[in-house]
Amino acid sequence: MRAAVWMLGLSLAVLPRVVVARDLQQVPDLQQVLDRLVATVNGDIVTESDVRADRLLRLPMVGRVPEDSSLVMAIVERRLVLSEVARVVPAEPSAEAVQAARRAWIATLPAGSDAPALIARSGRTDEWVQTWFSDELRIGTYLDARFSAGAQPTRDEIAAYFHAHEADYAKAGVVPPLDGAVLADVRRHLVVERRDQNVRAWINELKDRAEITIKTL
Amino acid sequence: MTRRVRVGIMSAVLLGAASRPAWAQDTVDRLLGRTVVSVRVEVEGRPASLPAIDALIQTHKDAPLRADELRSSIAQLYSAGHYDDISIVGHEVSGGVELVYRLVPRHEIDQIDFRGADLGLDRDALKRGLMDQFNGVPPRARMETARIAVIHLLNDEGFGAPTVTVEAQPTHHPDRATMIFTITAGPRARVHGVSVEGASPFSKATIIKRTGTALGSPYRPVALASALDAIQDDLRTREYYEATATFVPTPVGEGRDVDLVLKVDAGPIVTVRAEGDSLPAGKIEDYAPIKQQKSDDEDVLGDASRRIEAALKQDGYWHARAPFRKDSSNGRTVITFTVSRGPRFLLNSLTPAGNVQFDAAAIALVLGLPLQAPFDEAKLDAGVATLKRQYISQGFADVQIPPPVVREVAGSVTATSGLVDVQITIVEGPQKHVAKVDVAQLPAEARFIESDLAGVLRVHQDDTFVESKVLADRVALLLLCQNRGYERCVVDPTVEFSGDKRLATVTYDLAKGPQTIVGQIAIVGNHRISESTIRNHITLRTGTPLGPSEIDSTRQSLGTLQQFRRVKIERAPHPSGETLADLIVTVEEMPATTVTFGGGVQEDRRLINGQDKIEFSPRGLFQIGRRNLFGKNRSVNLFSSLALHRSDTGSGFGFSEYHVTGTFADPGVLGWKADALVGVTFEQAIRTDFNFLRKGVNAQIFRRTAAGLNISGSYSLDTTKLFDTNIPSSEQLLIDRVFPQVRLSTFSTTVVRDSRKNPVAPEGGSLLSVGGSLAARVMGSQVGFAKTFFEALGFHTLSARHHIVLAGAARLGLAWGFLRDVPVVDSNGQPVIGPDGQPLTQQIDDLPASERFFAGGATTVRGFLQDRLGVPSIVTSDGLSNGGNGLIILNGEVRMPVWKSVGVVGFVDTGNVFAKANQLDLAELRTSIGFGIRFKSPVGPLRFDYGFKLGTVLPTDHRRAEFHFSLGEAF
Repeated sequence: MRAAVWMLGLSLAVLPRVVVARDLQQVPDLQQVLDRLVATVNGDIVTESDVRADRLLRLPMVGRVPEDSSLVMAIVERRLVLSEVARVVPAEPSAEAVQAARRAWIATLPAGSDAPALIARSGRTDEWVQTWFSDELRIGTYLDARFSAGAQPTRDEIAAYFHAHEADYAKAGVVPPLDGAVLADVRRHLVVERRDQNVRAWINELKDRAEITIKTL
Repeated sequence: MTRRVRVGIMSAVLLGAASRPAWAQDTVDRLLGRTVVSVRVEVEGRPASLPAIDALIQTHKDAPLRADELRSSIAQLYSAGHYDDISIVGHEVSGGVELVYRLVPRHEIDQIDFRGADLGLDRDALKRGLMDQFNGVPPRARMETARIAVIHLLNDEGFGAPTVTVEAQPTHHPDRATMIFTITAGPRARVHGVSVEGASPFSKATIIKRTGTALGSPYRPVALASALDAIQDDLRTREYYEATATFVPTPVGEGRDVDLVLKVDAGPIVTVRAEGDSLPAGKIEDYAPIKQQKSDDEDVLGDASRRIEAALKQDGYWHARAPFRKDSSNGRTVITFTVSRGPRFLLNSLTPAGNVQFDAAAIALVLGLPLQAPFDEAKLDAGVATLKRQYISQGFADVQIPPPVVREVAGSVTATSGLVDVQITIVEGPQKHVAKVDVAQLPAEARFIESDLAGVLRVHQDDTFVESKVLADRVALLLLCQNRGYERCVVDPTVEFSGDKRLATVTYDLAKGPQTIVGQIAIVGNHRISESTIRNHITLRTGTPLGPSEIDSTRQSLGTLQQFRRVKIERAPHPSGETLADLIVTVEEMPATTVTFGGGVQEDRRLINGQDKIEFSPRGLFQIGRRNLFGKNRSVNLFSSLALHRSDTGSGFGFSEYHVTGTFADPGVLGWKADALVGVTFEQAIRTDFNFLRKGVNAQIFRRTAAGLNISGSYSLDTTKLFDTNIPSSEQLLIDRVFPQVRLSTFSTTVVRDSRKNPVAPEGGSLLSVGGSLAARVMGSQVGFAKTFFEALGFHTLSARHHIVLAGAARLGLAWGFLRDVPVVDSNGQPVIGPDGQPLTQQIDDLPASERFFAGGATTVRGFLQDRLGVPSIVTSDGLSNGGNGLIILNGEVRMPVWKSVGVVGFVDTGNVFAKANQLDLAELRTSIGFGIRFKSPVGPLRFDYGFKLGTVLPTDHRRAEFHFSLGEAF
C-alpha cells in the first residue's frame, strides 16, 4: 500500500515537470509552429492545419484517432480519389443525403461535443463541412459504380468462403445450409472484402502515378 | 490485479498522456485572434524581404491572426514555385504575436551523379539511360521511380541483384540539387554456353558475333533481344517474311551465368502475285504491301484481299472477289491472289418507298448515285447513313431505313455486265416537335433567370425536335454554369414524348453545386513589368465567379501586352470544399531588349558609265527594341537599313539608300487607358523614274471607350523631295498621290463605332465612322486644307439558315483648300516678272493629289476601273482622274453562299467624285450593277466581281464593263 501511494505521488509530482519541460522544449522562447507544409500531392498541398482540423473534427475516421503520419496519408489519398472523381463528375448528392451523413458524423463525436463550436475551432466553415460530406457521398457513388460490379463472387467462391468460415455461422454446433440469409451474408462479406481490396489496389496505383512528397513529420 | 499494479498502470497512462505528439490545437488556438505585430521572412535562416514574397503573404501587421490566412499564405507561397518547405512560426509578445515565415527554396534537381566503387556500368551509360527514360533529369518528386529505373538499367546489363540508394544533395547560389545514386552493382552474369538453332542464311559464327554472345561475354538481355530483332528485320528485308529470331536463357551455376540458345529461323522466301482478271489499277504490291510491312501475316493478306475487292466494287464490280492462297515448295512460298471481277453493274433504278418528307429526286441527290453509273454498294450504304441524318435533322428521330434491297435486273446480266435496281424503304415515323423546354433547378440553389437561359438554349418550343441540339444545349448550359463559377455543375437532359410520339418535352435537370468565387489574386514572376500594369489587364475580379471564360479572357488580355513568353493562371492549393479561390498569375517575361540584324546583297539594273549594267549592292539592316520602359508597358524601337550603290562612274560608292524609323509606344498614356505612338522617319530611296528623300514625324493616340467607340487623333509632319526625275506624264499623277512634294502639317481625328460580329465576312451589325483632317500654314504646312469623311456600313441577315446577307454602304467625303499665293511660271518653269519688276503670283485653293478623293474600282463603284471615276471636269482625255474635293458613294449588295466555300453576290454601286465640295450633285452619280463570286480561301475571302456601267458610256470610260479580283469583301 505504501509503495503504491509512493508511486502515485511520484507520478503526480513528475507529471507537471514533464509537461512544463515539454512546453519549454517544444515552444522555446514561447515560439509555436502555427502552420506548415506537411505534404504535397500533384501540386496540391496538405498543411499541418489540415491535419489538425481533420483530427479535431474526426472527419475521416470513426473511433480511433490515427497517428499524424497516417492522417496525412489519408488526406493525400482522399485528394487523389477526389481528383479522379472530378473527372467523371458524378451527380451532386441530394441535400437530404448530405444532412443524413452529417447527422451520422455528429453521432460519432464524443458525448457532449458541440459540432458548430468544433467546426469554428478547427478553422473550417459550415459550408466546408457540407462540401466535405457531399464529396464523401460522391466518392462512395463513384467507388460503387466502379468497383462493386467487378466484386461479385461466383457460386464456387461463395461456397469456398462459407466452408472456410463455417464455424462463424454455426449455431449450437450446427452448420446451417448455405441459402437464404446465410447466403446473402456470405455474398455481402465477399463483395465488401473484394471491393475494399480493389479500391486499395486502385488507390495504390493512383499513388504510384502521382507526384507525392511527404515532409518529415 | 493488485492495487499496486493498478496504480502503476494509472501512472503510466498519465505519463503517456504527457508525452503524446503535439500537433496540438490548444497552443495554436491561444495565438489565433491576437494582433499581428510584425511579419518577417527567413529564407534558409537568413532574413529576406522581397516584394514577390510579400505579395503572397496574407497575414498583415496590425490585423488579427486568422487560421485561414495562414494556410492561404502557405498555399500561395507554394504555388509561386520557388519554395519547397514553408512553415509559419508565431512568437507571443506583449500586444500580440510576431510571425516568422521560414522558407526553404526549391532545390530543383539539375545534376545526376553516381557514386560507389562498383557501379557496374560507366557513369555516362547510366546517365544516358536514366535521362532517356525521363526525357531529361528526373524531378525530385520521382526520385524513387528513378532509383528503380537505375536498378532496371543494371538488370538489363546482366547485374541481377544490384543495390541502389538515392538522395538529393542541395547546392546553393543558385538553389539547385544533385540527385546522387549510390550503387553496388554486384556480380554480372556471363554467357556460359551458347548454341544456335534453326536455318538461316547467316552462319552460327555470324549470329553469335552480331548478338555479342561469345563465351564469357557479359549477359545483356535487352541488348541481345535488340540484336536478334535486327537479325529478324534483316531477314525480312531479304524477303524471308516469316523469319523469327529469339533466345532462351538457362541459369547455370549459382544462377549468375547463363546458357543461351539462339533460335534464328529464316523460313521460306515469300513472293506475291496475282492471277485471274486484271487488277483495278497498279501492281499487286500496292495492294499487298508485305515488303513495306515485312510480314505476310494473315491480317496483312486479308486486308490486301479486301483492298482489291473494294477497288473493284467501287467501279461497279459488285461481286468482285480476290481470295489468296499460299503455295510452299523448295523453301519458297508464293502468295497468289485470284482476282475475279464478275460482271460490271450499272444502276438501273433507284426507288424509294415510304418517303413523304423528301421526294425521290431529293433522296437521289442525298444518296449521290446517278442512274446508269457504276453501282457502288459502299457508296449506297454511306448515302443511306447521310439520308438518315437528314431525316433526323428534320425532326424524324424515329426514322428507320433498313438496308436497301439490291436486285439484278432479270435478263440484264451477262459475263461482263449487268443492271441493278435499288429499292430503299423508309419508315419515317412521326415528325417530332418541341412542346416545352424546361430547366429544372434545385430549389436550394441560386437560380438562373430566363434571360440567362434564353441566351444559350437553341432548342425552343415549336421547333422540330433534334436530339443533337438538345446535347448542344446541355454543353451550352454546362458552360454557362461553369462561367458562373459552378465548376461541379451537372446538366442532365431528359426528353419525354407524348403518346403519339409527336411532341417532346425537353427538361434539363441542373445541379449547380457550390459556387467558386475569386479570392485574392497574386502575381508572381514579374521583374520588370509593374504589378499595376499586369493588374490592369487582369479581367478576373475578386468577389466575382471564377469561370473558364474569364480565365481565358485574362490570359488573352495579358497576351496583348506582348511582354510575356508564358502566362499561367492557377488556383492556389485549397482545402477540399473551399469555394473562395485564390489565384496565382505566374508570368514569364520576354527579354526587355531585342536586337535584330542582317545583311545581304541586292541586284539591280542601273546605268553605270552610260551602260545598262547589273549591279550587286550590299544591304544591311539593324533593329533594336526595348520593352517595358519604366516598368510600364512602354516600348521604344529603332529600325534602320542601308544599301550602298556604286557611283554612276563606276568607281567607289555613290547614292545610298537608307531608311531609319524610330518609334515610341505607350499603351496607357497619361492614365487615359489610351494607346499612344510617336514615330520619326527618314528615308532616301531609288525608284525607276526618280529618287526621293522623305522625312516625317507623326504622333498618334488611340482609345477604345466603354461605349464601343474607337477614337483616334494624330498629328503628322511630312515632307518629300523628288530628284533625278525622269517621270512619264502618264505616271505623274500617280506619283504625286504617293509622294506629295509639299510639306504637310496635319491634325486628324477619327471616331469609329464598329458592331460587326465578324469584320472579315459580317452577317450583322454596322460600322459608323467619321473623320476629319486639318492642315494650315500657321502649323508649318505649305498647303492648307480641311477635310472630312463619313462612312456608314450596315449588314443584315436575310436568312439565317442559308446565310444570305444584305449589305449596304454609304460614303461621303468633303474637302476645302485654303487660298494661297503661288508664283506664276512660264513653260520653262521660270517665274514670270510683272510690270513692277516683281514676280507675278496667283491665288489658288487646290489640294495636293494625295489629299484629294478618288473613286472607281473594286471597293467603290465596280463598273469603273480603279480611280477613274469622276465628273468630266476632273477626268483627263485618257480617262485618268485628277481627283476632286467631293465624293459620294452608295453600295448595295446581297451575299449568298452556294456550295461549301463558294458564294455569289449581286450588287448595285453608285457614286461620283466632284471637283469642289459645294458641287455635289446627285443627278451626276454614275451607277453600275454586277455580280461576283466569293471563295473562302485559307488566306481570306477571294473576290471576283464583274460590274456593268448603267446609262451612257463616255469616251473616257473606254468600256461598258470591268472585272475586279481582290482579297476581302468590297466593304
